Amino acid sequence: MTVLYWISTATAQESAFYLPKAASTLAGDVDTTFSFIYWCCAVFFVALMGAMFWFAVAYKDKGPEHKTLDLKGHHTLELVWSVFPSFLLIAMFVMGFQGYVKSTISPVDAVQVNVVGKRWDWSFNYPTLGGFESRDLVVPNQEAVRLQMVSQDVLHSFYIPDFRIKKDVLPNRYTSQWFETTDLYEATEEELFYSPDFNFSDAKESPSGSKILVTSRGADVQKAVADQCAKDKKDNPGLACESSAENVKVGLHQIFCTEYCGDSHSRMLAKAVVLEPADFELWVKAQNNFDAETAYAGDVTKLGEYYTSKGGCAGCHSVDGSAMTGPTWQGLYNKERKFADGSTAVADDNYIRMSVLEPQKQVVVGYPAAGMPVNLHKAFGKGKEEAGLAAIIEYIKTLN
Amino acid sequence: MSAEALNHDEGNYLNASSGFKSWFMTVDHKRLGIMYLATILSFFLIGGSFAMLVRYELLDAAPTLSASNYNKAFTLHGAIMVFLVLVPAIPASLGNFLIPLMLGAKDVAFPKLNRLSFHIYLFGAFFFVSTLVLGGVDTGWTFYTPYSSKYGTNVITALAGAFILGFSSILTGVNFVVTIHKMRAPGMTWGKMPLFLWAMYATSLIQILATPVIAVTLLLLIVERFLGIGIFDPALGGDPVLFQHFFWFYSHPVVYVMILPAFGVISETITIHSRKHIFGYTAIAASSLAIAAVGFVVWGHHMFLSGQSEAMGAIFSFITFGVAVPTAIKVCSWIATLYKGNIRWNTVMMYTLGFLWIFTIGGLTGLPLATLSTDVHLHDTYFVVAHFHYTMMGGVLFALITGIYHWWPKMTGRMFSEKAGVPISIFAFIAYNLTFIPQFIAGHRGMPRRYHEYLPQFEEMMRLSSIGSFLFGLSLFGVLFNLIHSLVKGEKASANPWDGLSLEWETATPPIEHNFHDQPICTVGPYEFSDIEVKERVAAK
Repeated sequence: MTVLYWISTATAQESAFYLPKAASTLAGDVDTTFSFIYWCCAVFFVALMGAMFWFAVAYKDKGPEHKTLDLKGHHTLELVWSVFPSFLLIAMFVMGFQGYVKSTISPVDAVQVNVVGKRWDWSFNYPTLGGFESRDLVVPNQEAVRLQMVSQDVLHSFYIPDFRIKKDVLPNRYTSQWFETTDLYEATEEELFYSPDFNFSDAKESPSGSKILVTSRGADVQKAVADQCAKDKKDNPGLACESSAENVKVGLHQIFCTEYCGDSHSRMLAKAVVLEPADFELWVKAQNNFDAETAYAGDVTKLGEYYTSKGGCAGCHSVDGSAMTGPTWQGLYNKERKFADGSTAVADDNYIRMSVLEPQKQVVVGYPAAGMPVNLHKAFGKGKEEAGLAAIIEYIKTLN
Repeated sequence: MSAEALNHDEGNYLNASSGFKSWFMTVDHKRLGIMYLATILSFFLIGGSFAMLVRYELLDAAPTLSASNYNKAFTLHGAIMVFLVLVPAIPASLGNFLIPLMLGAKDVAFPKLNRLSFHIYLFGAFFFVSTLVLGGVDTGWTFYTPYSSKYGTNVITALAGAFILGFSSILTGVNFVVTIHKMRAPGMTWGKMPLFLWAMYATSLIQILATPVIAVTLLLLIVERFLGIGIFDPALGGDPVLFQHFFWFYSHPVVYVMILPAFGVISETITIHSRKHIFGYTAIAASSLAIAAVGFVVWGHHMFLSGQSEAMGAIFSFITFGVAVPTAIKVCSWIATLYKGNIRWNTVMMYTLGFLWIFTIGGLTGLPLATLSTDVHLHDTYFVVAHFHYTMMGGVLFALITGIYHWWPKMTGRMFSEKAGVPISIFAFIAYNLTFIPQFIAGHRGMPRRYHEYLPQFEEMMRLSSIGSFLFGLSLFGVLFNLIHSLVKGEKASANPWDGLSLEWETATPPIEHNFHDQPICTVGPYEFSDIEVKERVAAK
């Protein structure tokens, strides 16, 4: 058993083939336990199957007259194979239990992030750092983070393979999970710009040529950090930070939803973005100071696109013509729409405005009658609804 | 009168009467077994077609089907396979056919109840078919709330189907328990019962005790969906985790309803085809009951991450390891049975060995899922999908094919082709492993299950798996062809082609309508293959 334990600790480090990268302090325990079980299983499997094939070959049919051994059992042997594995099983239980206890008890000084899961999007709110909201989980490297999670509708499950954490997200109460990253695992250029993600609208072809939607979310975080750095440097030129985006170090880790939640379940993705603590502070500052209207001043289309991603519209509406839960926006503007009640209308500015405000009123044929949430104040901020709507309409116009 | 003479002189259960009504309204357990088998295999074809559709979609990272069609395909695949195929697969078909024959009885204890079970099964199946016709259902076979109470498509017809099928399962269970208790041939003590009967006995107990719980659960969900009374939906004041407790309280034991009969089949075939006494009769019989009992208190291991308390998680994890012990005893005993045997390399033995390989993988990969910290990473990934296919689907299906081949001569009076059977079995075995081993790898690398489109890093493994599944589907048509071919061109089978010792081999092939002319008497245990006197007695027949 000691030997197996030793092998598992050694091989856990080299487990790239079996497991994703181990980027959190919880991952080491999980990987060692996994390797321990893996090697126990490998030994038993080879022993059992080896015996089976050996017997099958060695005692192959020697004709009907052949006398076989009259053996009805062997108490010692039966006792050995009942008791010996039990010790290994108890060892597995104990290792798993220890790792689990560690993963459930969060350090008291952890940064709190409130996670909301909704069909089909995640949002992250930082209540102790200013209460701003982010579409990705941006965290400081090597600092404990505690997630307090809740769902707006059905069950979801929050999974980051690289951190070895997963927890169901329920609609009726909070569940929580914590982690601390061990290393930044700086993202490669390819990961930064071609990191596949179905939520965002920048449709590109991945390097392997498969047609999926990809995003540059990692690059967005880099830009926010670098811009804030440049701003701060104006007042304090001696500041040690990177003011050019490509030099900001970020680590990127995939977030999945792992509890089936309906049509776009497989698109309910986000990224965990790891920053050095100093950069994280800059990012937090940028978020608190962020004002979409100023940031996208002079580019109303970009502002509209920003709102559609912040409001989670892309979870149901594609911009490339592909079928999703809601109608695609590609070529939508000025097109004639047919509704479930048989009437028709042209998709002009007013139609789009009403579709956002009262989505249930005119439902396009073939699409579900209920389901589109109306949460304008959340996407736009209070008092900016009309300007926001106008920006979205301008953005949709560009998709023709 | 010798069995050989019976074979040719008299009618058998197949030709004793004819016409639709003589089959549909029969109370003969053998005819019911055959009809169950045919119906179950038809639904297997439908459920399997959905599996092919799912694998076709997953050939490529980018979607081919629409999301809602894919979600319906995997839901219908799971629901049909679990409720209409795997649960009744071995008990209702082989169990019905064999239990009275092995006991030396004329029929089951309540033949009319047995017919009623079959008719209820058809009625439940009708609801599933109407779900299909009405446009399908997309909740996953687990019907998790509040998704299934709020969204989802034709949830009510599917639930009603599963609800009705439950009654068929309960009635069959009651019937078998009484039959095994009361109708054993003179001389057949509990210790002389073939292990298939022990397995069926343990299975029936689970069916009787667990099925009412799912029936109530599904009914509550129908009530919530239909009348808006809050039970599971938090928006109405319910608790979605409560549903999971109810659901798994049934659905965990039910995996033993699927696999215990498979164990029973393997205990029979591995002894007969290696001409050896079973190694550790008592341990195997007792472990069936132990698995049935422990299986009732491990449901929470499906819910480590569901929000149930951590202490509960720890307790369920510990008890779950308790299932591993009796299972390990069984596998070790079967392999020890082969030791110094006289092993026939025939189709039945190939599937038996295939079962041992597949089930060993299925069992061992359960360990990291029972372990708390590793389950956190593996839960709801393809690792779980591969694990339960190795146990539920691979284990049960390989055992079912083993059983069908083994008792085919008894059921139909024809021998199948070994020349075709053996190579097809090897092909099926390779294709099966090609399908599911890549799923283990994709799973521990982090690919979630029930994904209609997925990240390109998983494409390699998903593609291998899809190719494997198409080949596996092909191999099953090979099995079907071999069996059908035997009906037309197969040699006539003798009463006891494998030199078996259990009572079903003592009657004619195919059996006469009432199984035995005279009450058979059980004088010798079913596994005394090494006993010279027994051997001579068998030879004399």
